[in-house]
Amino acid sequence: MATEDESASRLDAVRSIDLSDTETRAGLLFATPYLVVFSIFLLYPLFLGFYMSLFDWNVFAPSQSEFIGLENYVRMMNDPVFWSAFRATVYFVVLTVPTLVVFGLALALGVNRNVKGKRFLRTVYFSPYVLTVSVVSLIWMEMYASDYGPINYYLSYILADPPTWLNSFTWAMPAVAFATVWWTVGFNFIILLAARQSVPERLYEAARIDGASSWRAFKDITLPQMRPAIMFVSVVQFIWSFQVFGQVFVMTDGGPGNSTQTIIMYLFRVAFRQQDFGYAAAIGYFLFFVLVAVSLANYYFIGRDGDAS
Amino acid sequence: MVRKLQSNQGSGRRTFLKTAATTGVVAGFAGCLGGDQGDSGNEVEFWTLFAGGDGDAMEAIVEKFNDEHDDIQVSRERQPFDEYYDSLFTSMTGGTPPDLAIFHTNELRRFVDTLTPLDDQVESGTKNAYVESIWNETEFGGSHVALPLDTHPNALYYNKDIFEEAGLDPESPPTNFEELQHAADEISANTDKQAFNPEPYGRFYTRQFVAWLSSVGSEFLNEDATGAAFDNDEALGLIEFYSDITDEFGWDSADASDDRGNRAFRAGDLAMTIDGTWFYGVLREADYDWGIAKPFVAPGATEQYTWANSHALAVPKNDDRSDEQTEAAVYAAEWLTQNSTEWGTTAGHMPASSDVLNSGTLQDADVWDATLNTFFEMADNDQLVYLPSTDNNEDYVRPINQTMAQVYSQQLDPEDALDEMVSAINDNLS
Amino acid sequence: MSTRTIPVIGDRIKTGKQLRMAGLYAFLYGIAFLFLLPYAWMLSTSLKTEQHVFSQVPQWVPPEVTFEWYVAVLTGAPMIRWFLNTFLIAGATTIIVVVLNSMIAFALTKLDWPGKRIVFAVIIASFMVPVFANMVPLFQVIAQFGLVNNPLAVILPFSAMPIGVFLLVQFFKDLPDEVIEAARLDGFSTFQIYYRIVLPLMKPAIAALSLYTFVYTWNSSSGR
Repeated sequence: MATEDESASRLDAVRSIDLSDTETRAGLLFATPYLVVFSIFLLYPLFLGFYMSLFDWNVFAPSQSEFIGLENYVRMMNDPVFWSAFRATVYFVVLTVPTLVVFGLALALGVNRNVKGKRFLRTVYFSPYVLTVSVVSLIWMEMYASDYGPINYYLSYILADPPTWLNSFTWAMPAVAFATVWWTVGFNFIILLAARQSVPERLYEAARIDGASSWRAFKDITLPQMRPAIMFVSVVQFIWSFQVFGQVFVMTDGGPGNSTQTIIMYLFRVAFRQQDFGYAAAIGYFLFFVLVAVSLANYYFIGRDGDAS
Repeated sequence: MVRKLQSNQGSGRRTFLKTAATTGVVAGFAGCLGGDQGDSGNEVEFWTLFAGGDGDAMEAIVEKFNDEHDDIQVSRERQPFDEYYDSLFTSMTGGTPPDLAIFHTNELRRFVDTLTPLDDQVESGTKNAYVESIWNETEFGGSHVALPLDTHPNALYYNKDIFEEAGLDPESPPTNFEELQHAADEISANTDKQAFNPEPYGRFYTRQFVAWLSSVGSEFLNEDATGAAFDNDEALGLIEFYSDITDEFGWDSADASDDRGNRAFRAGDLAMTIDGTWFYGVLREADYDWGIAKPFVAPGATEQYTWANSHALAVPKNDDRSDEQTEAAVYAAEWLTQNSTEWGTTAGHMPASSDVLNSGTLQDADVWDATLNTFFEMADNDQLVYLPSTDNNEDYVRPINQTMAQVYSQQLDPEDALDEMVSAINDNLS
Repeated sequence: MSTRTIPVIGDRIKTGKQLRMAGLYAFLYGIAFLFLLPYAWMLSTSLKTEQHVFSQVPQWVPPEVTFEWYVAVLTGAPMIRWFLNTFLIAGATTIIVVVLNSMIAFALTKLDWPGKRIVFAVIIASFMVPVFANMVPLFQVIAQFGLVNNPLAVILPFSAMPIGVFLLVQFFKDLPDEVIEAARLDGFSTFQIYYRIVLPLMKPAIAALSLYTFVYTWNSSSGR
């Protein structure tokens, strides 16, 4: 997402398409297949979804839906359950995103050192990522089980009254977040490891000759060189965490109370349990705008800065 | 994993979920990938949500049907319990519903517009084939949309070995609150077991709570089901009972974790719990002695009620289906619900078919003495409470489940709990 | 450097280095150990008989080994059919995603054509579409195209997801333009550049994308 050429980007929009230009033709040719699939199966439904959000949508007979304007959005603003879901989601994001990025980076940098058993470590760290969300949730429900789970058994040696994890207001969300870290940190790890390995070794040699400390080398070489990958991982992680659903749905069903019910889980319930697709679509749109806004902010504050330096 | 395999209709797992992004997409489209959906006109696609003992029983019944019929074959497709209604719903909106599907009777109302009315499809005498009270559960707006398979009420299950260990008579389980109190106190005092857990799954509090509400003389919802009708002292007393169990009485620890009581009872660590007919199938393999009693143990009970629900078979509407195919589906539904002996003997449920229920085969089977006669008596005495059918039962089920779990785990006090439940239900239903 | 001239300090630095190395090993293998514990627990549970499954004292080694649960899983459902179905869908999706995404990523990074910035911006923005919210309209689209009852109903929506484009663009960008220019001077056509230069050089990125897509599709479409 570099902005190599500001003026070009501005002109870009108004420049007419000149099909006699071979590069233009090639560009369009290479871009079109994906764009066709993309437009039909992502973009078009997106607009259709907005249309639906303006209706009291009747799923069984769409043509009988009643147009209600922005009522779904008004309802959302006044819906305490929605806001509780919003808070729960933000909490999850705060718990997971920094952890997943920093931990993934730490593992990647660690494995990149000349350690024995690299291949083994790489496999172990990445392996949970290939599990399905239901399997991950089941595994961790067993681990956290208050009476027959191993975690509380060992904790009971240290604590008189170990937490009831998924049943506790205080611990349910952190417990889900912890399981999520175990599950998905492997993705960040792999991406960041690949990025670290593509940093030219000569940069470090030069730094060593200059007598730079390893902290300096990390700060001045590793971080800037890995910036695009870290950016990518952070943005992707943010978007995924904001859309968390499966883990909470299976592990806590949003409980205790509604304390772990996230936005997508609420959206799911509104759509499939209450059959209120118009309202669900409105919630989806709200989420979409939040994600776009935060990503844009991210791009302007971090991305820009990175390109400038 | 193990729990998943053991899952049955009562303790269904939120398992086999897909990732957020695509759950619905796949659930909706997956039906199409299931292979042959022959349009031959005589294959009836039948969706069930049964696993474990229930699954085995249904498999046996369907196999028998297929053996006895050449022109119609039922192809049984099992959906995961927790996603069952979501999958059904998606398949209906996508225009590709199964020909025949299991519904809980109190979920029928939500789907009633999308089901084939059966009044013209079955003989007028069909109703006589079923126990009247169960047959009535399948009627909506004067029209029958499903044929009942069973009823499955709750009872009190107790561990006889623990009773003995506590110095209690293993053959006289508690029949009222005072006896429950005595038994549970003795167990707490004389053994290191948990004495009583009224909701072993930690997430279906609504079931027995609503039945006990009737027992203590409170309504649950108002007449047209637009609001809660239990904002009263009787209900508060009942909520306090749940709270006392894990606090003042000390019969169990303050923990409403998923499935906790179920595991404890199965492991022989819990003396008494309240569970449904299907628990018979689970406990058959237990290495201790257990017994069953009517669960009329709520404090302040003036009447005796227990929770029940009922499985029924319905034919979802599908414009693309031929009349012949619909007839085949209805015929299969009649046959399956009226030849349901295994549904009792293997799965432990109380069949809705009068003939099956009164047959020697069922009454001579082990299940009859173990559990079914107790359930039969309660049904016969009209002591079953079905949860009300609303457009979306989750409107009242979820507030109660979530709130009572907090009460039981001592994270919410009873008065606040009552307020929360009442206002949430009023909001949702209005 | 200092290590050569002052041996005492050099030793200290050396010990420091060894200590740090030991710390690193402890960290990496400690984490690996913790990562494996949940697997071990599940494996052990899956081999236990009913009466040992719920035990107050954790039993990491089952006192009695049984395979009944595996038998139940394999016989209880048409596993092989589900497995094959899922495998075909995940495989087909992966191939389509790799081809389409690498093509457009190439066009976006190494070719100059009007509108590409806008196209890229739209793709990036669409990345934030909560797929769940998009599901019901998507369903109607599928119906409109008559794709219900067709594996494409699963494959195509997966293929439309923008994350692969995002990922490949990040990697393709780092490919020096000089390489492309050199190839052009050698008389390579655009397609040859894509096929013979870019794809081979970007193998790691494409491998990562394939793995990701396959795992994601597999996870999303299995379980039924």
